[in-house]
Amino acid sequence: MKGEDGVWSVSQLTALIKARLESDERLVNCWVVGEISNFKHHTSGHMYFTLKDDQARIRAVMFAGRNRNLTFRPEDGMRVICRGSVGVFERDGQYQLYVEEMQPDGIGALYVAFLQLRDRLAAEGLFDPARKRPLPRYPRRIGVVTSPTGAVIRDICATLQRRYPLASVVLAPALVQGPEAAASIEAALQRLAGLQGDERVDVIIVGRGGGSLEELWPFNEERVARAVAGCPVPVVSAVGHETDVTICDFAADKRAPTPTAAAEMVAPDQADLRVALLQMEARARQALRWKLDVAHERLQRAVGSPAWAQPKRWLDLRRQVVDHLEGQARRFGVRRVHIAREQVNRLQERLHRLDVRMPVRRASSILEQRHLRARTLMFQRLTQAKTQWERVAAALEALNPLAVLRRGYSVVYRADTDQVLTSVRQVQPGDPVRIQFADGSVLAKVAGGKEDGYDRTEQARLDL
Amino acid sequence: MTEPNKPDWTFETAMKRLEEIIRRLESAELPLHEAIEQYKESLHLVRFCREMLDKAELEIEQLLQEPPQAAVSAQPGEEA
Repeated sequence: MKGEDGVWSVSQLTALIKARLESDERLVNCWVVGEISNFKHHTSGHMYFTLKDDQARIRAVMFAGRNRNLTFRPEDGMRVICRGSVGVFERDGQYQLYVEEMQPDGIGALYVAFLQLRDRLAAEGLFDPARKRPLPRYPRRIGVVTSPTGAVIRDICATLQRRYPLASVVLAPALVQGPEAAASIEAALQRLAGLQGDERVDVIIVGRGGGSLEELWPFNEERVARAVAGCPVPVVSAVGHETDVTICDFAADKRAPTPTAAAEMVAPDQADLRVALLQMEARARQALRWKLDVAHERLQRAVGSPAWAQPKRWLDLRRQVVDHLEGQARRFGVRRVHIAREQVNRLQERLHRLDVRMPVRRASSILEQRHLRARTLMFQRLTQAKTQWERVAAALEALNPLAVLRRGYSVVYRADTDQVLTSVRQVQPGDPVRIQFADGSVLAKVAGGKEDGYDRTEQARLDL
Repeated sequence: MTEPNKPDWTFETAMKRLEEIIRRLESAELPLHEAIEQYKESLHLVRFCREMLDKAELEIEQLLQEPPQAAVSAQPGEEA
């Protein structure tokens, strides 16, 4: 690094100084208090100024990215506390303070302590967003750590009574200012966190009203921050006014600007809930209506099928057929149809009770079978009867005397007594007789006659 | 069907059940006869939640300043 002849170049020397200064931990992230002079806010956004006290001065720069969030306007003569690191600007051979953060002095040591604790706990990860727990939607019991006599508990209760009276408020009284306050707040948190079973609280609000930094100080103490972060129940911090920020706010799961806002944060508004209930009621009704419509449509499609369009008429038609068959069958003594009919009646009753298509189909097919069987049976009986009748008719035809007459025979009656004459001896000449032919009769008188051989006549009569 | 008027039902459980039922009712696969049952239950639940809101009175209770078994060292004099 050093030149050959033991002589430094300016750059080499400056680089050495720079390395030396910037490696000193005491000069990194240090706190400096002093008065601002030669303040310039450059158009680039960077701030250039000198910090001085009555014996020394140091040049300082605060870059635009850092000074954007300043809560005050620095100006010459203002006493400020700065946090930053010392560095070297080689071009000008200047060492200077690169300011990260700046606060007006006057709050002094407390404020520095606040910032230092905040940074330390942040570095430890106590404020990590990943640690933040969600608040319950419908808290049953809400714990409150605050003064029992302050406005905080009044505001919280009034807000909850209006918005979410379903909850119970469990007040754990605590001192909220003075040297004992931090321990008192910690103990109150622990008492609430220790409630078990039905007494368990779902969420805790830690709060106090506005005040000076000194008055709010207990909420900047480490034990409170740790008690809040370590609380098994989610915690909402509502300390001071909107502009006051405490360590407790960082450690809590949520920060509320005011106690009223904290109460609004931990519980829903019943007005919203009533609207939600109305909407859910409507959604349930609509969902069911839709399902009913779909079911109705399906039923309509099923009922609309031709065989099923008028089930009663369809059945009546078949009953009529059965009745008719029964009437016929009764004449032929077919009892079976009776039984079939009773079965049909029973089936029909069952059909009336059922409203699905399958049983109807099944019943109708059974009905169809019975119908078919009854008909077959009837035809059999009819055929039998017909054959029988034809046989009898043929026999009768054979015996019919008229048939004999048609072949040329005739019957002779005595005209006066209508007695059939079977012998010549039954008449004398001159007796009136009636001769019956197949197609009519004539009247005649016996003119005369003779008897055939006795024996033959007798024989012939016997043959007949 | 669960009966929402049991004493151990809270507003939260009722609301959660209600939301669950609505989701199920709105799903296509729920058969009609079950949908009717669920609908009836949803009406019960809505009525139950509304009654709870209507009857609610904020309850406030206060824990003792220091519990008897407290391991916390008593703060001298500072009981305000």
